Amino acid sequence: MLENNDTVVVVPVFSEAPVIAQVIAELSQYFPHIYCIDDGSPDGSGEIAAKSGAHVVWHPMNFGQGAALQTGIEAGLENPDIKYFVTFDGDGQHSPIDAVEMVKTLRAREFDVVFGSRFLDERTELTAAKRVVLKLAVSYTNALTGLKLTDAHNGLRAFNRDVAKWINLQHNGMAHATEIVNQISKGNFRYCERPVHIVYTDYSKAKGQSLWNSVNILFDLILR
Amino acid sequence: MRIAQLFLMAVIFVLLWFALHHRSSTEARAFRRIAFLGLTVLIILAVIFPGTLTSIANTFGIGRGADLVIYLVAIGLLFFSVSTYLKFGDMDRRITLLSRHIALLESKGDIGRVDPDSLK
Repeated sequence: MLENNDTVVVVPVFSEAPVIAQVIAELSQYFPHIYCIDDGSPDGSGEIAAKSGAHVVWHPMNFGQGAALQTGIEAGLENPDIKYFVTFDGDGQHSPIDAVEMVKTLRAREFDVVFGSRFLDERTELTAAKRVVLKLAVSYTNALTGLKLTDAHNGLRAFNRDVAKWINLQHNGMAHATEIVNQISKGNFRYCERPVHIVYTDYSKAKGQSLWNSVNILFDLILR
Repeated sequence: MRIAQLFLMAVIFVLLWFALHHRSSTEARAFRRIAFLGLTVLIILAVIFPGTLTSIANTFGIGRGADLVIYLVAIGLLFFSVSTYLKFGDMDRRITLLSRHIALLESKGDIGRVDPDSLK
């Protein structure tokens, strides 16, 4: 239990009331420090997260996942004992075991950043359309950043304190996924990918991003 | 294509570039006001002297004076929407930075929580 006492799990939360208690319960079996950033949820997600034992940081309005992640990272940096950071989606699509494995990889000190990828094994089931869009997105991100990733738009990542200090997300919305990769590329950090299992429940599918949002993301990235 | 038409196209791209790169400078603000005044004067003149405007338009390879005004208005609209889009983006970023700072102070227990209802 205490083995991950030096790790903060950053969970951006926007209107996840039906599932957030369970997500935190599962995470807290492995991680004592869970920082939920309630991104102005109108449904009381933050209150539920606080009751479930997470440390909650409240955004007074909704700013988007990029802003929530940045707040969570900065809140984690306030604690000097924290060496590792994990970003973990609040809708229950990620597995805490994968996060544990990624932090283990970081502890070997061979890498500064571990990206989760749903394309490195066969566990994750995807619709054809989603697969195509994610593949296009990662091609774009790789071309932009020079990194070689198989899945750039995965919310499960782990990195050390140096990376946490370096990252400064400016894109509030979902364009932050590309932005994170870009900043890590500029910082010349050592990175790798680990296979992760994304569970697409009916809940996360209903809540998840519409493929149309990729148009908005592209626009945000180009024009600013 | 006439040289005058190429010139108009070039003006459009220079304006867009200007909108993107100097959006908050003093020059950009002055420029916006000059463009606004110029367009207003042009429209008034177009109403009073339709013939003159048409002959100006003709030198640019455009058939009618009214068409010239339409093109200029279209450029103005494009310019306006891009600069407004960017301005809102800037404002969003500033509000986010301020709010995130407040959120972190709350998280440390330095100040009380903002009541979200008070912001509605």
